[in-house]
Amino acid sequence: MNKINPLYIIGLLLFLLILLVYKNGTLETKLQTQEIINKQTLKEAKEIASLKRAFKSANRNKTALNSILNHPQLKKYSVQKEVSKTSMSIKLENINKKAFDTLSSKLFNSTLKIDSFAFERMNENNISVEAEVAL
Amino acid sequence: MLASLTSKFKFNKEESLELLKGLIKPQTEYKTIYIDKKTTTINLNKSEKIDIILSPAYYWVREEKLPVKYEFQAKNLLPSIFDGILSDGNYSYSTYKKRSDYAKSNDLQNSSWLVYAYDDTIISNKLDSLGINDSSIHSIYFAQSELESINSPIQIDEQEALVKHDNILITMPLSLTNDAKDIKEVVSLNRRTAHSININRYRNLPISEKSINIIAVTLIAFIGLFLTEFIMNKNSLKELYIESAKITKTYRLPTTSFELNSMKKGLKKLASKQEELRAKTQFILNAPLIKNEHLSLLELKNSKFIVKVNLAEAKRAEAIKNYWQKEVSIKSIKVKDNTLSAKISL
Repeated sequence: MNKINPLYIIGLLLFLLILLVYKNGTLETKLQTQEIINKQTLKEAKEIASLKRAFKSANRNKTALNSILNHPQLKKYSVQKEVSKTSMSIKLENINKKAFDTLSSKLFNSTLKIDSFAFERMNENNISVEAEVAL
Repeated sequence: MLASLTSKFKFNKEESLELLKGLIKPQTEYKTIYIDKKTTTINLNKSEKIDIILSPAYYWVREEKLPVKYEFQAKNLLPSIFDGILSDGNYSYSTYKKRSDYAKSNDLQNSSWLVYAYDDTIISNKLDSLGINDSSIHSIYFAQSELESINSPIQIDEQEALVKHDNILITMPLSLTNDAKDIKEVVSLNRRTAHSININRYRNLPISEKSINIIAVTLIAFIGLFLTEFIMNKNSLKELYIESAKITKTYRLPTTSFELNSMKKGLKKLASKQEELRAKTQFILNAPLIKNEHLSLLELKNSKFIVKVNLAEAKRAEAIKNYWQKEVSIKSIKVKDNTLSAKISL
């Protein structure tokens, strides 16, 4: 025999439907929030990765500095280098104005972390340069 | 197998055969109550479940030869069999092949069926008046199906008895019968058949059964739809969590947002400091020097610029100072022998 009132079953189905609609709504909000979080995280991750690459990569910074010093304008000058765990210092004496322009523009346009520098005019044509970059 | 069944349940051979055919049910512990129009009270414990046998007053029964093989086919014919016989009302129908013709499953012409019509509302109202809840009922049967195997008259009360006439059980005055057996004794000894009936106790609902079915199907369809969407969303969310973990792993990010923010802040501070260093260096170098003036030293040490400029004349220091002051903070400045020396904060 029919032991359950059909209206109870309709009520139960209705309750289930409302519950599902509510749960779905909550889940969709979560989904949208998570999508935004993921996009944000990816954006931040890329930003952090690029900043890390720029300032926190010892090998890359060493290579970048050596590549500047290997420029044809600078290659002819002898460079005094001092490398420690955290930094690399360079000293070029009596370089001409053209070489200085090349060195300063490359150095300041790079993403190297410059800790200190000194540009001293030796005479009308020559300049001495010292710089320390973080590794 | 038959022997083992017989020994296990203590059935005789005939009962075992009927059990195998599904004609009777195994012995149950449910109390059986016979109900007729005169029944006004029954003794029933709250937790007790009962089987109910309804008197012939609650149903119409006929023996018919139907050209069908299966019960569901026979059921489709029942309303037309009772058409014109029954008074107006909502009736339910029930049928089964006569026990003696059960073996004639392929003999469509000679198979007899017992066909029933009954009013759910009348039966339901009677059960309500006796205080029998749905939860107390195990099964409901007709007297015809349960007592047709008894050949002798069956005494229902002090005035009436059930007797078989042309294989159909009918009620007769007790005085017209001989050697009637007591109904209580008969139902307690006799095993229930498999021919229980369904009573639709909710026939008088404000909405029709058809509407209820349509609403139920619609709701189930929507539930299915939303459930599918829910599962898909759940999977998508799981994928997003995996993607998030992948980003963290690929870019070697800290797991907590606190650490991530701290790392980002540190790196951004470093970047902005370096940008500032480059901008200020450029600004200092762009000082408005005139002919015979030159910058002799520009040094950055401990976040301070030390600048020396050879001036054409001492009073030119003011112009240079005014220019630098636009964008940088001068800590100290002095002029000696046409040489300007300044300390500028980074």
